[in-house]
Amino acid sequence: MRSLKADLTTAAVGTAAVVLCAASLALYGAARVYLVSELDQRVAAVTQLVASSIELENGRLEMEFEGLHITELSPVAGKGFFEITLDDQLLVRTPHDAGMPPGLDGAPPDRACWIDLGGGTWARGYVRAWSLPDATGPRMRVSLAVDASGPLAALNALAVSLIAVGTVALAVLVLAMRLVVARSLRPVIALGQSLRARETGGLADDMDTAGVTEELRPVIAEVNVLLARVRQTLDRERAFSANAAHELRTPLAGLLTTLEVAQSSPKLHPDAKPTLDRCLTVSRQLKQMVDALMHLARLENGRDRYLPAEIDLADEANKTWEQIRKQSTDEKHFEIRQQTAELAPAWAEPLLVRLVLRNVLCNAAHHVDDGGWVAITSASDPAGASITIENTGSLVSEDDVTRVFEPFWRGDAARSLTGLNAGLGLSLARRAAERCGGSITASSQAGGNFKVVISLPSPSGHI
Amino acid sequence: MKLLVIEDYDVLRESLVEGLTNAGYAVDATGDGEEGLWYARDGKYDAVILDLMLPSMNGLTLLKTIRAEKNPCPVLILTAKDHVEDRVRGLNEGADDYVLKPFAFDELLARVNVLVRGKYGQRTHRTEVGGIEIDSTGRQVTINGQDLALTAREFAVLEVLALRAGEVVTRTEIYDHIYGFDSEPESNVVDVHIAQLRRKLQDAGAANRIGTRRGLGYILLAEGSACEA
Repeated sequence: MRSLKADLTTAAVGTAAVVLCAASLALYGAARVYLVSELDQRVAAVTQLVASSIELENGRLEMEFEGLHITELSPVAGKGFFEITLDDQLLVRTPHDAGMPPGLDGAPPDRACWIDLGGGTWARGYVRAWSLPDATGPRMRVSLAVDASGPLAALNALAVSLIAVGTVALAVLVLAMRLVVARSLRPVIALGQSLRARETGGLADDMDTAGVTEELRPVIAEVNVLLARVRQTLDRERAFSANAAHELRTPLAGLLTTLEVAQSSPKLHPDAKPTLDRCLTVSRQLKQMVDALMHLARLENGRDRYLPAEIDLADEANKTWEQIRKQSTDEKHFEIRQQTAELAPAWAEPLLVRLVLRNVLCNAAHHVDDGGWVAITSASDPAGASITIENTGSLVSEDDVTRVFEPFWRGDAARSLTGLNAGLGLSLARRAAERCGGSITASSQAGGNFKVVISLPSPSGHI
Repeated sequence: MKLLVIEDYDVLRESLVEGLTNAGYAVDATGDGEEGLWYARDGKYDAVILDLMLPSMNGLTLLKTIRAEKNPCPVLILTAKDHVEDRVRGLNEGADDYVLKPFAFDELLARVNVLVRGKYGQRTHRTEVGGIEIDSTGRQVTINGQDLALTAREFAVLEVLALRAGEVVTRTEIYDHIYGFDSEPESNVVDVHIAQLRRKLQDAGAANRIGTRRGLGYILLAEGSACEA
C-alpha cells in the first residue's frame, strides 16, 4: 500500500540529496580550479624566471641561476623535472639521469599541462621556447614539470570530507524529514481516527475545525456536509420506523381485540378455535415486533429521561438468565457455564440493562446448538464492568458479525421467521447499552462460537 | 354495569363492544368525539373507554370538558401515543387509567373492572351481601356455597344492587345499567328481571332479600325481610 509519509519523505530527501551532490561537486570543482591554477601560475613564473636568466652575450650563452632559489629544481627523483635545450641540444637536465617525461616533449609552449611522472605521480608541465637574441638566433627551450601531489592530495581529502559530510547530512535529513512529515500528517491521522470513532454511533456532531491545518479545512467541511446528509437519512429512517410502528398500533389493537373477543366468545364453534389460536399467536408476535420497534425508536431519539443507578451487572445477568430459563419452553439440552460470582458494579439504568441482558441472553439460548454450551462471564476493572456471553452453534459468519446489530438482520432468516426473532433484539440491546454510556460488541469465533461483550461505565464518580 | 366506548377505528370499536358485552357490560359506542361528549354527558356510565385521536373533538378535549362539568365517571384512555408526557398529560387532565395500543383484551377488561369497582368503593371483584357472594369477574353468584345460575341481565341487576347494597336503586338506574342507549326493551323489563331474581334467590334459600321501595326503586338487604313498604 502506498504511504503518504514514505512518499513525502522520499521526495524531500531525494531533492535534498540532489542539491547536496550539486553543491559538493561545485565546491570540489572550484577548489580544484583554484589549486591547479595556483600551481600553474607558479610553474609559469619559474619557467619565465629561468628563461629570463638566459642571455647571449657576445655569442656566448650566459646562465645566471645562482640566487634564483628555485626549490622546484632541486634534483629529487620523481618529484619534478627540469630541462634546458639549445637548438635541441641538452644543456641542463634535473634529475640528470631521467628521461624526458612523456607528454612534456611535444607539449605546446606557454601552456600548463598534466604530465605523468610515473608511479602514480602527476605533475604540471610548462614549456617556454624562444630564439636568442632574435628570430634567426639559436633556439632555446625550457621544459619544467612540478609535482602536483600536494594540491591533488588536498583535493582528495576535500572529496572524502564532502562525501562523509554529505552522507551524515543525508542521514540526519532522513530522520528530520520523517519527523516533520509525521508531524504534518498528524491532523490527517487525527481526522481518520475521528471518522473511525464516528462509526460506532457518534454522528450527532459535526467535526471540529479548530486547530486544523488550512489544507484539511475543506476536507472537514465536505465531511461535515456528508455527515449532515447521513444524519438526515438516519433521522428519516428512524422517523419512518417510529411512524410505521405507531400507525400499526391501532389496526393491530383492532385485530388482537377481535381475535381475543372471538376466542373467548361463548358462541365460538370448537372447530374454529385452533385457527383462531394460530391467528392470535401471529398477532401477538406482530405486537411484540411493533413494541420492539417503538422501543428502538424511543431509544434512538433519546427523548426519554435517563435514570441511572448503581447495579451489579453479574447479579443482573444471573437473575435475567434465571427468568429466561423459567419461561423457556425449548426442549434443547445445553451446558451453562456461569462465572459471575464476583461483584461487577456499574452505573446504568437498571431497566435498560435488563433489556440489554434479556435480548443478548435470549439470543444465546435461542441459537445455542443441542448439546452445546452457553458461557456467562463477568469482569470488572476501575473503568467499569463487563459481561461476556458466548454460545456454541453460531451460524453467523465472521463477515456478517458486524451486521448483527442492524435492525431486522438475521443470521438464519429462513429458519425462524417469528416475531421474537425478527432481528430487533440486538439492535435494541446496542441502543440501550449506548444510552447507558456503555458499549456492546459481537464477534464470531472459530468453531462456531458467537460472543457478545457488554461493557458499562463504573459507578465511581457518580456516587 | 354500563360502559361507553369512544373509538373511531370501527374494527376495534365493534370488537370492544362485543368483548365487553360478553363480559356482562351494557355498552354504548361511538366513533366521533362530539357525539361521545353528548353520550358521556347524558348517560350514566360506570366507565368510559376513550381514544385520544378522534374526529370532530379529540379525546383530551372531551376529557377536559366532562371534568370541567364535574362529571366523575371513571375514564380509561386508549391510545397509540406512548410518550411519557402524553400519558402524564392524560392522567393530569383527569383520566383514571391509560392503556397503550395494541393491548391484551383481558388486561383492558381487568382494568375496566377495577375502575368500575372503584366507582362503587370496592377493592376486589367479590362482593358479599348477607351470604350472597357475587364474583364480578367470573360472573358467578354463590349463596351459602351453592352456585346460582342467572342470566346475564339478572346478574347485572343483582350486581348493581349488591354494589350499592343498603341503598335504594331506582328502576331507571337499574335500566340504565343493564341496557345500552340503542336498545329498546319493554317498559316493565326491570320488574320482570327483579321478579325472576327473587324467585331464583328464594329457591336457593335467600328469600325476601330484594326489597321494594314503592315509588323509589329496589334495595338489596343483608337479611331477609317480608317488609315491602
